[in-house]
Amino acid sequence: MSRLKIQRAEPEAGPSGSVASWLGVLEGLLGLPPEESRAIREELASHLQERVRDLTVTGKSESEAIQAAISELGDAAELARRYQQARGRSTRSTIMQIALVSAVAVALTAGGFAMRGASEARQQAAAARERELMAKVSAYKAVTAAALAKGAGQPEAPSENLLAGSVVFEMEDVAGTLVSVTPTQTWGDLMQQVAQATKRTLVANAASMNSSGLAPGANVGMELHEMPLAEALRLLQEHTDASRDPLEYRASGSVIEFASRSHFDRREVETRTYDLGVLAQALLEKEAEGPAPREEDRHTRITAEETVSEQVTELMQSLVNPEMWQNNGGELGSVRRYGSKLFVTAPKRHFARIEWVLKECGAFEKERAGAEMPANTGRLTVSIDRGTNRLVISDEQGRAVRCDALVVDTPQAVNALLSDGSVEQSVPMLSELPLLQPDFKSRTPLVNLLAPGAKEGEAAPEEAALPSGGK
Amino acid sequence: MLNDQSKDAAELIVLSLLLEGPQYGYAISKQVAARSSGQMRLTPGVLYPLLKGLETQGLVSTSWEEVKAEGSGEGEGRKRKWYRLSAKGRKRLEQRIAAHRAFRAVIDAFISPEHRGDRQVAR
Repeated sequence: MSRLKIQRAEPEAGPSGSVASWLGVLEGLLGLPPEESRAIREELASHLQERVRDLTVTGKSESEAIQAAISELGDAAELARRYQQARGRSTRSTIMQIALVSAVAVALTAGGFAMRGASEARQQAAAARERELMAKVSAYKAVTAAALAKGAGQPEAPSENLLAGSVVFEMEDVAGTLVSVTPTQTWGDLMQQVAQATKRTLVANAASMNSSGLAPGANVGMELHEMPLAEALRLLQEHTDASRDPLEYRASGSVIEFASRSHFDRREVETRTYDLGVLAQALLEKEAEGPAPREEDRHTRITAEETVSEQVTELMQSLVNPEMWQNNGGELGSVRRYGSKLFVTAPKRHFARIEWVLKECGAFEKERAGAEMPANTGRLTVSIDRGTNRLVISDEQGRAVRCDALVVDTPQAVNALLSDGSVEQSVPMLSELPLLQPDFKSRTPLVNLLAPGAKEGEAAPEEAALPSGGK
Repeated sequence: MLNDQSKDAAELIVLSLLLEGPQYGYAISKQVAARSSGQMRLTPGVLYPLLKGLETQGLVSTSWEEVKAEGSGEGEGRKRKWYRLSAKGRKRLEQRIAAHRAFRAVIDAFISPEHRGDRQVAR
């Protein structure tokens, strides 16, 4: 009781006095809008009333009962903190649900985050591609240690051809590969070199390269010495015919694929939805404040949605790669509207800019604009701090991203992530529960389990009834 | 200090109780004590914020009941907050139960057969 930060010395007028003052202290500590604290106060007062009644029935005096009932609530500051946490959970759970996507919608790379900024509509749009990609991508599902043990063995190749909404997981070792070429070496030589250096199988899409003006047999025409791959590619192509549709790569755990940018774009088209309700509302509010327009000029909810959609669409299509939009005669980009929702279809790599435009328009509500937002812009880098054995997840700007759940795939995929090959590091996950924090200091003992016999690839004692999709 | 596992367990328990019908806070805490034969005490300091969290996440819907004042010394009539499981809450309950079962299965996988007693080992 001494931890309660209230003055209790004087008995106040009536027994309800000390309840009232305790609740007053709590209300102060809660720091919530008046309506909310009133509700909390009301509920707790009602609780205390009943509790006190029950305690007096057992023979306690009223003031004893009150003291006991209040002390059961614990420290007011701690209680206030728990309430605040509980309130804050709305945002967190939204992100958790976003991050924990059901099997069909998500294609994960090894250990990548699945962050979908949109909804069912996008999943449906990608359904057909999902089936194709599922052959390459491991499905997200519940895993038990038994499955872990069963699955131990060859890491399979997670693909970086991600479905809508999932995050590009940059394989760090590939991006950092140092490349050296002489002018008479060919593009084919370069690609082979990279494949060897990164210990991956080379897949070169010669057709797309040829149509973008870059023959695999052509000389690179420049001397480079130990330059990082991305920069090397950029430099080598800057003044060539191919610069309009340059050679790019996508790397997964065991494959590195070279093709033209347009080839990847076509493959990586996705649809995301954005709700412009906030903007429509803002427009209505602004009108309500200002001088009353004529009746016919005034926006209704519906026309406000129309107006903001049109404006945002136009802005987006003029700022983000204008020539790709179908409205502008392009092929891969389009914007459709339903109510206050925009369905934006475009190659994945453009969504960072698209979402920047939307953000600048104020389309994203404040409470979502926190640390979670960067993840939605599409590219997270996951790396491992070997010193602390922690996962470090950072966004494109290098900011650390807090996550509520790390959704990982089969153990094989995690093997690839940790590029370690040892089963000890595999991380099984349960579906739709946040079980893992970025630092791998797990919240449940499921993480970092070493299933007995797993190393030898023995089956575990329990049968795991899990669908094995995407193999 | 609450760890996340006991928070998950508390949520599972509260959601399960609500599956049986709407309840208000104090009744929930009494039921928890009663059904666990006093083994589990969901203290109000934990329960009420938890209920708030459920409400915020849309797992329950809430309504207020006017409770008439009874006799003297009880103060004015109070309002009681009732909780009812929502469809989303039902789904969450199912998930939690599934997770709980999977968790148990995982742990069981480590308990050697001799300690498991006569439990059959399924292959």
